Amino acid sequence: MKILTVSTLVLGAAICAAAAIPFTKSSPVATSNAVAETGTVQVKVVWEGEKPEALPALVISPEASKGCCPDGVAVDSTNQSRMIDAAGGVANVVLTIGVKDMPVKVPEGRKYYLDQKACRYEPHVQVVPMGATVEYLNSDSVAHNVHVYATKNGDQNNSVAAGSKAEQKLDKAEVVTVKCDIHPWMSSYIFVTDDPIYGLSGADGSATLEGVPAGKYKVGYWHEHDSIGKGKSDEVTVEAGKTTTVEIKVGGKKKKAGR
Amino acid sequence: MADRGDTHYHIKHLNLWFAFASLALLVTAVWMVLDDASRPWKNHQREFRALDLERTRAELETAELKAQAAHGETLQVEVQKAAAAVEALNAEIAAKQEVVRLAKGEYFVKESAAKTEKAQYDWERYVVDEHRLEHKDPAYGEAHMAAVYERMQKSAYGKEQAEAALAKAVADVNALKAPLKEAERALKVATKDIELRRAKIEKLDPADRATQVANIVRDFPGLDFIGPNLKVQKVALENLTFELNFTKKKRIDMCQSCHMGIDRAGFENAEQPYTSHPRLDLFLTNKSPHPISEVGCTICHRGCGEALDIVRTDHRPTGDEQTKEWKDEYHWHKQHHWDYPMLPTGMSEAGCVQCHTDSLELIAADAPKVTEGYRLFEEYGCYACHKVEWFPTKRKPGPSLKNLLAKLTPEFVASWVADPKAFRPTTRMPQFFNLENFADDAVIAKSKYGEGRDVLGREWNDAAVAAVTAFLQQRHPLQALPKPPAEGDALRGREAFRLSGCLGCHNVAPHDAQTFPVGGDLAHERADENEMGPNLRGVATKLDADWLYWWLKDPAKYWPDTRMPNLRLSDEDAADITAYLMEDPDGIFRDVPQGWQTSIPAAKLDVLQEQARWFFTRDGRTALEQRFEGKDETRRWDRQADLQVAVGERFVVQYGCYSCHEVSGMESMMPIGAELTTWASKTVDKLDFGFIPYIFADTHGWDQETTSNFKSYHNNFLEQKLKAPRSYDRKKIKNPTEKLRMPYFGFTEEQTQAITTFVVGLVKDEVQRAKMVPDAGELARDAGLRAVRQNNCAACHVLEPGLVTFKDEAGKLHTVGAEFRKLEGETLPPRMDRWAEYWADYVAYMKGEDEDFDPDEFEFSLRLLRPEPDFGDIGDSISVLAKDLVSVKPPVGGDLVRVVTDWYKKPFDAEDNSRTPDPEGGVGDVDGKYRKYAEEEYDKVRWTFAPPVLLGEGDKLQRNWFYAFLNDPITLRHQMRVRMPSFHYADGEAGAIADYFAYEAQRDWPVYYARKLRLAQKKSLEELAALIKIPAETLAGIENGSRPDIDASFAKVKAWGDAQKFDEVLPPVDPRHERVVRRSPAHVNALMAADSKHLAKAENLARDASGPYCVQCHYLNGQGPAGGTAQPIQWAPDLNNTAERLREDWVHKWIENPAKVYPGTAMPVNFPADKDSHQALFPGKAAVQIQALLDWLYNMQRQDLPTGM
Repeated sequence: MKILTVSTLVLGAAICAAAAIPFTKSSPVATSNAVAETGTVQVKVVWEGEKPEALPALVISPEASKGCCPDGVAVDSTNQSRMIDAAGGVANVVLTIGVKDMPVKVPEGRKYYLDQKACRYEPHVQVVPMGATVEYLNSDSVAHNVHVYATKNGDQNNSVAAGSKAEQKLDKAEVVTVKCDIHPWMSSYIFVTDDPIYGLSGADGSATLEGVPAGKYKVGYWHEHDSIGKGKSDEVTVEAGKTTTVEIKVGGKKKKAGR
Repeated sequence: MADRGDTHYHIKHLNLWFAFASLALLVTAVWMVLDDASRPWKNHQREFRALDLERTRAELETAELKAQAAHGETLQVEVQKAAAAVEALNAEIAAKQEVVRLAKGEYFVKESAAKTEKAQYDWERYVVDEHRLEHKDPAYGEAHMAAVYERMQKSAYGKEQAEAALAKAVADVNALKAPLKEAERALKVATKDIELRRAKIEKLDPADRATQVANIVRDFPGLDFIGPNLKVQKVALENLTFELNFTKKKRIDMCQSCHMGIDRAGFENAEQPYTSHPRLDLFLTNKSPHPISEVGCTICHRGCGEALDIVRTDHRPTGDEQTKEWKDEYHWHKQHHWDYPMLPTGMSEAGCVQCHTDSLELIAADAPKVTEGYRLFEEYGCYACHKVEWFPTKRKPGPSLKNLLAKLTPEFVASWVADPKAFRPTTRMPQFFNLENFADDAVIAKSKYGEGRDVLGREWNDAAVAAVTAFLQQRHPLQALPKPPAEGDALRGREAFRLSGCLGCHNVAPHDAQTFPVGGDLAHERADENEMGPNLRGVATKLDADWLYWWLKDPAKYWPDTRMPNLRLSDEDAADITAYLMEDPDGIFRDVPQGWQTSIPAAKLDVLQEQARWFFTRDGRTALEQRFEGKDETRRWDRQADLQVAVGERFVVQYGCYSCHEVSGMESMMPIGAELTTWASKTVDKLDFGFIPYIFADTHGWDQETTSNFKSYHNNFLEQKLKAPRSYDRKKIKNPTEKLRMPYFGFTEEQTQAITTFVVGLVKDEVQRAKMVPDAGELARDAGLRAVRQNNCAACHVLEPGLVTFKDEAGKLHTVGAEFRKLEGETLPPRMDRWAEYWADYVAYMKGEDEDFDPDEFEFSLRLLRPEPDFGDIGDSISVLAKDLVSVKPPVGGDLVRVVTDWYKKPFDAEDNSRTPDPEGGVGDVDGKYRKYAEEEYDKVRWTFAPPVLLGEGDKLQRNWFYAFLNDPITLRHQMRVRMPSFHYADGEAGAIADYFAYEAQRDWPVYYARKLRLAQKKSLEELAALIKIPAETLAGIENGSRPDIDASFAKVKAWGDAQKFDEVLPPVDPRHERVVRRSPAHVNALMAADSKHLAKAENLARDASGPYCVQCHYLNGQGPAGGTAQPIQWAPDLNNTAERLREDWVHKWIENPAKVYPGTAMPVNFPADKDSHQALFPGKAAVQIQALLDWLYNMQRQDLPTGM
């Protein structure tokens, strides 16, 4: 079963642990340009300044999570809203490069999934090209409801019984939030991009964006947490067949009071 | 003629005189004719005809009509083709027509024969009948009659055959000619609009020379009495009269003689007097509720309807500039002998009151100014002193004073009485003392019967205030309150204060009018709803803590008439809120305006005595002086305390304090103000303007005419009275008890105008038979709207969605009922009430984030809250570019939703966790635990912890349950800390609210139906209208809730929908005859007969964890969700009362797709129509499963079920 394959690949070691797996990292974007004319951008997102304290763990009452994990394992309470490794690398940052006259494409045969496993969403953040169809799976043995808050693509709120699924085509660029009303700690973001080059930073804050036509660009970034928010890198020059590195320093932003 | 010499006058001279006189007469006659020909109204009509002609010609040039004309031309070609085709058939047609000719002849012959036979038969029968009677032979002539009868029948049959043959022959000819006829008809229909205009142009500007000449002759001076084009336009109004010299006279309005465009659209921008009426949807047109033929003009606008120029009609200029202009141009002057001058521009709404006393709430949207005046009249308690017979409110507007010492200190009472606004600038209590006719340094009286010293205003006021305080204290001895049973905690109190709903009706805005950032704390802003109760700033300085506790527990115990409802607070919550207010950790409740302090002013004994002398003049000097000297044992006024009480009582009576407040022993006293029921029908000379016009003449440099004009209008009197109530005493010599008593309210200019408009509308009822008689639904709505307002439902509940207007690519405007989704980077959706500020703030913020941010290209996402056929159904999202956004109208009601969600989401200060009693910064839930809620949970918090929105509530609730609930609220949403209060409804208010929602749902039903129908048909307005065969504007009118359009054409829409088998929208339930079919024994028995486990299986759907598992979130029979393990944010309403509470069709709609009922709700789609889910629990399609679930929901509490329950 395809779902299982993907899940297995993605999940790796931990079962109830949630790690941000950069889904698109290994999926180079096919473009009409010959490979020779494109280069690669190696991005590293690092926290600037003193590393902040880890966010408090999610509050998960044992009663509410009853039935989530078999064999009495507790639901993973890692707060994935801001994960920074020891070296300051920031995970789960969406990175995009807009290229003139190069529309975003959904790679042929590519499927996108948002799984619910052990009462957490998997992955916590993903970036998908505009036009992608995302399947909302439920690998748990309890019912979830997939409450999609998508202002442009349209809200959706279906109860997804164990082993069942729902799906949605995301045609418009925006950040889609997904919540489960039954298990309030569950949340996930789907970044629907209209830029042709995109990726997601891994646990160490790095990401490789391949197939970038030669030229000068700024790499756009977005992160769910207010202290990072969104912005653009310094300008980078991409040369055909070469790898350019860029470091994006983030952090320390304050949310405007009262918003 | 020769002089015959026998007259004593000179014939020749006489001839000369005669010639001269004739000439003079002739000249005069010509002058008269010419003058008549150039009367202003005739000139206006000439000008208007030119204007109309120009406009009609311009209309022909519009794209729409040009397209029509082009279309007409192609149709014309079709007509020609058809004509040619018919021409080709000429021979055939001629042959057929010959057949018709012969058939006609045949028919004529047969018809004559039939008539003859019929006559013959009648005659024979008469003869036979006669014979039978005469000879008593009933069988006579039977055979003969039968033969005659048969002959008649035969000839009749022959006639029918000939008729049929003729009809067929005619049809044959017509069939051949049909294509031509059809083409001509199509052409006629398509060019109808053009032809109408061409006909009009022909009439206004005939091309035909003869008609041109005829027109000149018709309107030629001197000949124009015969049949002129220019004539007086008048409406005679049978039912509307006015009083003229003690008789009632019918109104005749000739206003249209000049205001020719008034009842026609398209002259909105024309100059006066040709301008269209600004509200043709409401007035003048036949479709509107006030057609000109029934109401005319002067009933609303006043003025003289039978005059024909601007001066004699008593028009009224606006402002000095226009006055001057009119004087120069028209020699305008006030018609002093006309009692009903025209209302000033901006006060026309006053005319609404006379007919709409029963329906002022209904017209609020269309007559905002006068209804605002009516509301202010109520809010400020004007009605308490000034009787208005029909005025619906009877309660006393001010709090009861019967135990005021339990609440306030005497010092506070004194300072408050002296100047209430000094403590609370927004209070509605007016100021009685220290006003201009008792000015500080003015001499009020010379004491001791004119022989003593001068008593100054300052002394007089101080003594009066002290006396009133003393009296109130003496009259209402303290009834001590018990100690509260619980100790409060201020921090817990702060949370309870926020979450119990106090801020729905109260605000804590600072004393100076400050503006707040749009993202700020709503409690500090003044909105309409949160000014229902007083601003609470500073209250801790005035209130007694124990009193506050008991007041919170049960306000009506202290003040039976109060509008403050009982929140059913627990002892702990009440004590906590009390502690929060009294301890005031936020610096709000001890914050008083600068300079405010409380003290009882010192009263001088001789001033008190002087006041007693004036108040008790009738008792006689001797008696009074004896009392002062202590010689009267019953009234020892030598003791200041006693004297103060006696004088204080007189002041309370003098100023009518008891009109607004309950004062012991004064319950049955009459209010002191002038009755206003028909005040505006008093002629203006009966109003005492005092010296004000002359004083103004001096200060403003008015001439005599302006001064006298000022005195000629009711509104001038009122405006001055409201702004400076005692000013009519200026320069007058009055003794202290005669002086004016009206207090000072401090109304703003807008408020003054609004109240004036309302009071100017209080006239003698001249419109008995034309009066608007509301039907049952309208009465229910009016009473309901009133009750909803009186009980401030809108403070907590959203009652109507916000409206967003934007333009499409073609520049066409659209308005949708919608809410904004939250913008990027924000945690809360935009505020629609302060939209412009919000947007400017957001743009500035975003530009700081991203310098390339382009506000024009920013895309807003809107979520529809009502079906909008051009854009989608409820819950759908649409996008609008910022540059296309035209206007934003905030939703009606629901500010408390924001206050509550803000508390859950957004601390006062993110750094400061001390805002809540929880050191972690969590919010206290009903289960006593503290929890933190994340930003992403905003929507959920809104749906779960804040008061529910009431959009379409009448569709949802069964009327009788709703009524019972209003009277005795029960807990449905166990997770909420905010409470539905127990209101102290006035008579019938609860019923009015329940009926209002039910009728509103019924009223909206045509709108909802039409919109849903169009959504289902996927048609444009024009397409669907064409199919139904009604004008597109009418269908648009129905979709927008226009009553005339609904009344006129909704039946057609419904009939068409029925023909399409459109039944998505169930008809509204008649609130008086509500039945739940699903609970009927027949229904249940049939179910159980088919499958005795039906209900048990259905229940399983709700209860089993592998199914939709309703009880995972919903309370059921007092049992917490998910076996009591869920957190409050997951809780959903109790299913317990479904059968009594909810309407079946609503529940069905809700289960099917919750987001289409309440967009944003946490309730998911549990039975997707395209999937067969939950088959193990209940086999069948989604629709079947939903039906089964409904069966269980509506029967679960039945005791008489056979099995399974």
